[in-house]
Amino acid sequence: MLKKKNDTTTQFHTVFIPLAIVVLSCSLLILVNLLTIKILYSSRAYVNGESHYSKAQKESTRHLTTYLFTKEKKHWLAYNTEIKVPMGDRAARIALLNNRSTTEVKKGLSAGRNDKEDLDTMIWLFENFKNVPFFNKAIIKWGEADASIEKLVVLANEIHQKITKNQINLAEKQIILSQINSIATKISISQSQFSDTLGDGTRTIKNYLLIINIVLTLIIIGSVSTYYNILLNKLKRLTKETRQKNKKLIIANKELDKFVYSASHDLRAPISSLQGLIEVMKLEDDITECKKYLSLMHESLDKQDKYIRDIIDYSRNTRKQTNITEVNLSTLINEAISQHQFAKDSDKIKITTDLEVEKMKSDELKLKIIINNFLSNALKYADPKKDNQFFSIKSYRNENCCYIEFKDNGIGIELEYQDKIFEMFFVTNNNNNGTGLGLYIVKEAVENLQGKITVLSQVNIGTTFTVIIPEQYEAKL
Amino acid sequence: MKQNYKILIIDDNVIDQIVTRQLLKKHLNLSEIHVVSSGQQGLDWLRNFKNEVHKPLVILLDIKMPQMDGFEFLEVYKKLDKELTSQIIIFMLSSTLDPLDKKRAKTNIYVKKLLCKPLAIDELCSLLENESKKL
Repeated sequence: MLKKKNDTTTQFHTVFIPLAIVVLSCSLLILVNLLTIKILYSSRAYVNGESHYSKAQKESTRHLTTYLFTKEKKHWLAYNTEIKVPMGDRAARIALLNNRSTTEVKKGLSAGRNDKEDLDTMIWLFENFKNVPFFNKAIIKWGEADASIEKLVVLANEIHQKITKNQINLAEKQIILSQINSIATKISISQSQFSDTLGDGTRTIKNYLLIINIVLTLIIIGSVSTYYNILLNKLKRLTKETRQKNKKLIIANKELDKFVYSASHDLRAPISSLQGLIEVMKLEDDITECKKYLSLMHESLDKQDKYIRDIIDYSRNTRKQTNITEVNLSTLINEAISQHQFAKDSDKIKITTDLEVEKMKSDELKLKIIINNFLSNALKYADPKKDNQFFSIKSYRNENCCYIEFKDNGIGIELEYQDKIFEMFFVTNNNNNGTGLGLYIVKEAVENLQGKITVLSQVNIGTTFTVIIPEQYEAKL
Repeated sequence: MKQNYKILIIDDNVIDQIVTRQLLKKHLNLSEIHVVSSGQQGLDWLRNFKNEVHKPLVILLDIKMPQMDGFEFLEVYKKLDKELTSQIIIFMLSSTLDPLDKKRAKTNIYVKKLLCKPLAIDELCSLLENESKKL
């Protein structure tokens, strides 16, 4: 029982582990994919932001240049509007780097014309990835661009002052223009580096994701097929077991049918014979004839008795579990002999024993059934024509097996019946008083003890049955 | 019994052979009673049987016998010469309690009736009287 329980636990583990791996891998796959989507989405927000940043910076530069040459106020105002975008982004970057409040960061990003819905994810990416190489590099490039923007703002303020005070000449304007252009170029370079870095980062992430996806999918497929295999094997084993059980059940059913059929015939047969004999005896006046009928009645009763004993042996033999104890063979044999001492003509048969093995570990009841049946068969099928009728029981040990040999010089068994004598309810014409159960029960008993039985017989010479039983050790007690 | 019959008992059980024979002998005073111990012996007996006196033959057939049981006997019996079998009346005589046996005996056209052991002479007589009316 304990072993069975352990088996089921191991089976449970082998089924449970691949299933757990599948569930875990699937969850991991979903999580990784969600994370990647979020990263890619946030990166896209930054790229968008960069394009606003870049556009506004270009516009502001254009307005500033126009203002420088036309001195028109509206261009100065337009410059101021546009420069607020990169300045907003700059404020947001500084706020993020210094862990300022989210409101301040959002204010800066909004000024940078970023979509309101993107703000949270942009903050999330910055906070979680500021130390990741690709994003770190992008932040540095962003800072460089911001530094250039600061320079541009300083320059613009100078221009505005000089224009307001009208202290600027054409040569100065040319110098300032080249300064503006140089700053703009620097910003452009930083901007494109920022975009490239983000692009490279997302591509790397995408590649990693692909690898992770492939690996996890392979793990899932592997686990699922392992799981499937285990289940399939289990199913196969169960089907096989069921089939074997069914086979045994069919055999048991057939035996039962045979049993019921035979019982419905044989159980009543001796009684109806007895009734018949009584009827006949009523009509008989001759006392010698009456005595003959009485001995026939005795025979009939013996048969009924034997039948009942056989059926009880049969049911005890099949129902009862093997019970191994130390068995004394010579005691069992002596008991059997004393039980049979009143059988007909038993005094004419010389019974001898030669026991090399006297004590053995075995099932007492089953051994008793075996010995009793062979002894009663030897008496029943003795050959009265012979002068030296005998029945001998020998026991000896060979290769961890105990051999018990039953030998007689009775009428013998015809060769064609020697295979059939162990079948249930098999009887021959010689076998008028047989129930067809005795040797069947013997065979069942021997098989229960994991033993074998052989028969050697010649008509008119005699029969030798040998029972070979493996020795039971204490370990099996 | 107005008509005289020959009897053939087919039964493997020695005691039942004696019982049936004695019952027939003592009650009906029949002298021609033959006994065989197996279906095969019964068939052999029938093949050698020449009905010169034209007395009808009554077979009392047991069911459970080793090697060839009563129904197996009937399977071979139906292939015998019709001229022979037309003068034979078969009763099954058994101690069976098996419903299937009763059904099989009832449906077999060669079996007049399944009789229960020990043989009830009165029943046999009235059945035979019915048969003689038919003949």
